[in-house]
Amino acid sequence: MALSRRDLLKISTILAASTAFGSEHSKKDDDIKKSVSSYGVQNAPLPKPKGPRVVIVGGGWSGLAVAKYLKKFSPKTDVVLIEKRSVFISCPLSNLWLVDLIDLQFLTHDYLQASQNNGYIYFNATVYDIDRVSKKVFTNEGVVSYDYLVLAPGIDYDYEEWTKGDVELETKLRGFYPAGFIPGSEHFTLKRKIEEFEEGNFVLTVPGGNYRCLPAPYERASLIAWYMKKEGIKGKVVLIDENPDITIKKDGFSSAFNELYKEYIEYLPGSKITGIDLDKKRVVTDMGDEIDFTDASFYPRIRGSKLLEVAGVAKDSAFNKKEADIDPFTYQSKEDPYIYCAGDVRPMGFSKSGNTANSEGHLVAKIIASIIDGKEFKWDSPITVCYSAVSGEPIRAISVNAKYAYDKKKKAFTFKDASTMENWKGRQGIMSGKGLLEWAKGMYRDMFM
Amino acid sequence: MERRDFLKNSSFAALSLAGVDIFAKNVSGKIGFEEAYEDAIKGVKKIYKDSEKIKLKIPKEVKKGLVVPVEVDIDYPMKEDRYIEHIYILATKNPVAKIIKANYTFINAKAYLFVNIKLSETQDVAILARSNIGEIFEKRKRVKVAISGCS
Amino acid sequence: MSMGFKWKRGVIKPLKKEIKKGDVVIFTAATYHPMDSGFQKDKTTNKIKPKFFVKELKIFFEDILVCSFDFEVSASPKLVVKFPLRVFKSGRIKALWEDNLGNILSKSVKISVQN
Repeated sequence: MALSRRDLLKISTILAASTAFGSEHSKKDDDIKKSVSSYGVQNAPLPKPKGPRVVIVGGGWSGLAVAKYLKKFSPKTDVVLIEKRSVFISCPLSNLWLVDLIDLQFLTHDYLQASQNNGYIYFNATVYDIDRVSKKVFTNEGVVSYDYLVLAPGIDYDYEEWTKGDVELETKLRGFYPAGFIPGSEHFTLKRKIEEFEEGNFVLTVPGGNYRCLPAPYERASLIAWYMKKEGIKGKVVLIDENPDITIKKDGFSSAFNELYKEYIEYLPGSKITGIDLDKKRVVTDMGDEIDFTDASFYPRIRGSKLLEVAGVAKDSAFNKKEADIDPFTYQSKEDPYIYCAGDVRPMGFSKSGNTANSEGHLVAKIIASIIDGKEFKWDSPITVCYSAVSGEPIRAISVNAKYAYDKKKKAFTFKDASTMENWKGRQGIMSGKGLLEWAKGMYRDMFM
Repeated sequence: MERRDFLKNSSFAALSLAGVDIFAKNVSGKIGFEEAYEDAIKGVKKIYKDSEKIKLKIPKEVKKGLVVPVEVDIDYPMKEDRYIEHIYILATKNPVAKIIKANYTFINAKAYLFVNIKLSETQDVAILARSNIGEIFEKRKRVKVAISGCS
Repeated sequence: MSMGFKWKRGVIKPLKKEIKKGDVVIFTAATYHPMDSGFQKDKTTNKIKPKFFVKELKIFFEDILVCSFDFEVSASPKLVVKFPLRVFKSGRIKALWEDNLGNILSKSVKISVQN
């Protein structure tokens, strides 16, 4: 009979005291998190590494860039990208697909193609544990050893403020009114909701904190409104915003709301949801709003992926719960020098967008390559380039470009060279719409070719 | 979270691009702090600076200056013949230094006020409580602002 | 924002439910308004957005003015005000906001006082 988890726990406490282990840093072995699953699990069917092995967990916009560019910058490095999905679906531009402005093919990409083209291993598996003592990653497909580990697992949702721990409500919200910010079934459900919508209020929400993709809820509201208008649907989008104002590209979105979708969007800024009654289909806010809805997609606050806690490298940031506890210039975990964290789990208040994560992936690849090759590296700013569509046929868009700089006096990052293009009207808006598609193609090329 | 960590993280930039613009210079419609202050103390008999009577609750630092909660509680009788008639909240560096003036009588029974204010940058928030018999109680507190709240 | 802004959201409510005669009750009066400072350009049109802000909030108990608040553009768009009031009898508390363009919003709440 196999040992139970309880048995393993008992054994691990005995073993922990007697394990000898050499470490470069000062922490005692006992202090380093150990895993009960380090006993009796098979190694993953991967070839022996021919150089230092870097394991990247998470094949999103940052993970893909880290994998590709690490191999480019340090060819001797053995790179394994572990990703639980077998197909990549892009979250950027998915709002366009929701209302049929692009097809699904445009968003879906092939992990194998990315690994073939760039000389790293794509390992299709789900990570469930990490043992930092033996430097092993445990997956449902076996154990993978690493010399350096990059965690780029992205976000998870944080429903706490709405549910106050009521898991039944959380399960219903996740199951029936998904946020649609982690691509996959959530997006399919949301698309079906939009297609089947006949009349009444369609509720969308904008969370507080530094949520994934600041302009996306406003873009989504605009595009659903555009779709309703085009299809003659007697409904409107009610956008409940926890923030006191549109968080980004404010003038562009608010002029689109007012001039294009006056009858189709009701924007409610500065509203915290204080009650959700799914039986009555009613939402109540702290501003006294009582909104009855026909359908909804509730976007709650976000937090760092739970994998960070599994690895023991999570900490609440100024914005969100359980984000990566890292040095903001090296992306190195403060807990463990062999772990780096990238992408939307970063605690810095950078925009949680595809371009930011991708450019950061380039940087993190450079940093790790330099460390492996014993070279110096210089921090460089991630780049936020972000287009948002406000209408379709033709696609009209607004955009923002920004970098970040560290302000020593304020001890904080601030925007550098930030500029926005918020005029969606005329040629400029259409050009920007084309720019949106070209930007995405460029990004997909960068990640997969 | 520890204060030091908060300091470290608080102003990582991205919460809003809408709010980062700096106020345009030389536009009319500004009300400077001096002017606002003079206006509030006009005709008073005595000013008690840094008054112990005022309890002022305001965050030491905020990420964004668009919604800054301010709570004021003044220890003063609020009786028919003696009460706090006005509570002013001013900001030393906002282009418009005046934020709110509360007009109370003894019926309010407590000299208390909560309001959300906007702050354009790191600065002092000043509370002036004026009694019906011409006293002013004053208190100031500094608030660090990472992202401007002007719009 | 000001161009398409329809002012209709607001709420007034006591912070406690059970009120006894003579209690000092804190009330919340909250509304949302653009509170445009008059210093910022609209990035769509490149024109300065004119001042647009809540000028005054008046509180009435059974149509008697009990207190008021004067604002400038530096108050927050999420305009939450909390104020105290000694309550002697049941009645209707009304909040009336007015902005600098003369728009008016009014909300009220009925309170019951136990003897």
